[in-house]
Amino acid sequence: MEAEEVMHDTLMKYFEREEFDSVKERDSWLSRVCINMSIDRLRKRKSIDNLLHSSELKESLAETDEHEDYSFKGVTVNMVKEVMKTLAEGYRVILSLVLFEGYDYEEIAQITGLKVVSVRTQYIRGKARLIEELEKSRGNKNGGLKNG
Amino acid sequence: MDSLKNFIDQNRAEFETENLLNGHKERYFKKLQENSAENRKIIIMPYWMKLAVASVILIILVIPVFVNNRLSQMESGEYYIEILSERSLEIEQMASSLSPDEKLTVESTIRQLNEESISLATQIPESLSKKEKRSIIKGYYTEKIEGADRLKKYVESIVEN
Repeated sequence: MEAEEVMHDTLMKYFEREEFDSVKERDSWLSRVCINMSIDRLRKRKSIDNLLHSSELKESLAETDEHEDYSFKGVTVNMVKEVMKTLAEGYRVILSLVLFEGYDYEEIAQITGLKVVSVRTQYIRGKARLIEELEKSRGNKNGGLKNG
Repeated sequence: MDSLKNFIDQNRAEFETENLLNGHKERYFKKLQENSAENRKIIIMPYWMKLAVASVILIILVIPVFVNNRLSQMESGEYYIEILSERSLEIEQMASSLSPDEKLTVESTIRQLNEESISLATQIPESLSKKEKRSIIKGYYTEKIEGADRLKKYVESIVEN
């Protein structure tokens, strides 16, 4: 429902605007406004700030992505969708911006107000949490598929 | 190579198949209406206020017409001629009780004050500005009106005696 409200608000802003020079510019504007509105909503709940600026980020910011080569064999889209819903909002935001919107760490840092290093760390940890939950849902806790 | 990113990219179309909730259009249109209603200010006025506003508007509309009309009369001398004419009538009425000789004198004076073989307004050069024309006409007729006032006082003094 919240997503729908953000969509409605975005559309209303869109109709108040003057025309765009191109479809690409329009789509880019729509994405940006939608994302910013979504983040604003989350900020109001303070959950995103709690996570994004939490003390755990102060530890070991130079993390490495241990799941870079994780095999998704046997993983379905629905499984990933369900697991994404269970993740904390902060992780979900960063993962969505990287994976679905295609933003790089620098762009996400500008959107969220975080440092680039923090964005990278959030992404790695969010991804690790997602894979951990995927493993649980597949009933495989030994990580036998990690190296494909 | 980020395998998660690859997985998402390969199955992107399937990830973007979420349907909108039922009734989303209706909710959107309702929000649109509320939004435009909020931007519209509705002023509720009691009947007396509506009358007052209408009167003010009417007065504001009428004033320029009235002013233009009066200015036009002043430029042509009509305005002053009318005043002179009213004063003359008053004096004639007052003088009705005077002796024939005195009455004749008063009537003769009134005639002199009102007579104008050629209207002054038509004699003023066109090259002068409207303000200058009004000033000349005003000066000319003011003297006549002052003359009529003096005549009126004279007739009053005779009638009282």
